[in-house]
Amino acid sequence: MNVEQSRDSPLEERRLLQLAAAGDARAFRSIVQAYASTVAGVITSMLGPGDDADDAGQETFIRLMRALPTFRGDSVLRTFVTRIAMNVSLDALARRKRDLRFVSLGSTEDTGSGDVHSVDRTADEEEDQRARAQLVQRAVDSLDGKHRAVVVMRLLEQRSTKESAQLLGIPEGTVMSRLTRAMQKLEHILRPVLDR
Amino acid sequence: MNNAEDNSNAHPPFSSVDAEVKQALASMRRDHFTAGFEDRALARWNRERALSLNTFSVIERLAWRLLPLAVAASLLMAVYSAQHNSAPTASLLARSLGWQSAVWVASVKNSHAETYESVYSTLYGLPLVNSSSGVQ
Repeated sequence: MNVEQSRDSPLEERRLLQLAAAGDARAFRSIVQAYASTVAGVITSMLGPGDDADDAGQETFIRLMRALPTFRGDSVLRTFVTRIAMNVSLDALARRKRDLRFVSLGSTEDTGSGDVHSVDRTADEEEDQRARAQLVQRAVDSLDGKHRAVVVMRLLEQRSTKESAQLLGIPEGTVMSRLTRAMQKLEHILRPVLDR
Repeated sequence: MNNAEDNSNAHPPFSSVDAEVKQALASMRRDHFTAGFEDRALARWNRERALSLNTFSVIERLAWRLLPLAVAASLLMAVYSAQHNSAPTASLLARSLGWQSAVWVASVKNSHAETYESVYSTLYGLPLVNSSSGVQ
């Protein structure tokens, strides 16, 4: 049995998951191969590429194995995995924020959006593009996890409000209000700089 | 923004910086982890399983070791209770389990006590007090 076969049949997929949870290395690898792309997409959008993302990816698959008894099979496994990946990302962001706060106690460096206005315009177009991208990046980084999650789901993953709500485990109204707030904040930070 | 967008993945712009934000997020997004991810994930899963199995087996071994001690202690307490229970009418089982209160109620019933005064007198060996004429 391989992943391509298991994707066609939820029962086969479930069997594969049970084997993986019981310690079957081949089954575990199959699961990882099947969902690594989905998990990587969500996690790197939330955390950016790097060691943190790799660690969060591993954590996602471990949590999937542990959560297997609670998976009722009434939702698609990909949705279930995406939800776990999003939760792991939010935990990692919260940890990162805590660490940053701890570090910034003894530092005057502002990691938030406060200094985005101070990025100088350069004559060189390429460098200007890079600076703008960096600026937007920092503005996005300044969003807290729950707002960022909504932006990633709606804007990047192109999920509907309903899907986003299901994946994040929040009401649809909350998805919309968080999205509005996040985009207002980003616009407030970026518009004056991008218009220059 | 309206609810109509839920019917499709296309959506109206959320703000004037949509494109820039989307581009920034897309530039971070990767469809794969770094090489060897599968091996690292599998190694971690094996470590976690081994740890949880170890914890379970330690608890199980401990429980089996403590079981004879618990049984012996229970038997000793039962024998002690049976020997030191002063209620003569109670069964061996009742005395072993230390059913004191049932024994006392039985003895009070047997004493044909009819008033609170006589019940206290029977229980605590106090002189019976008659409310009209004092101690009997």
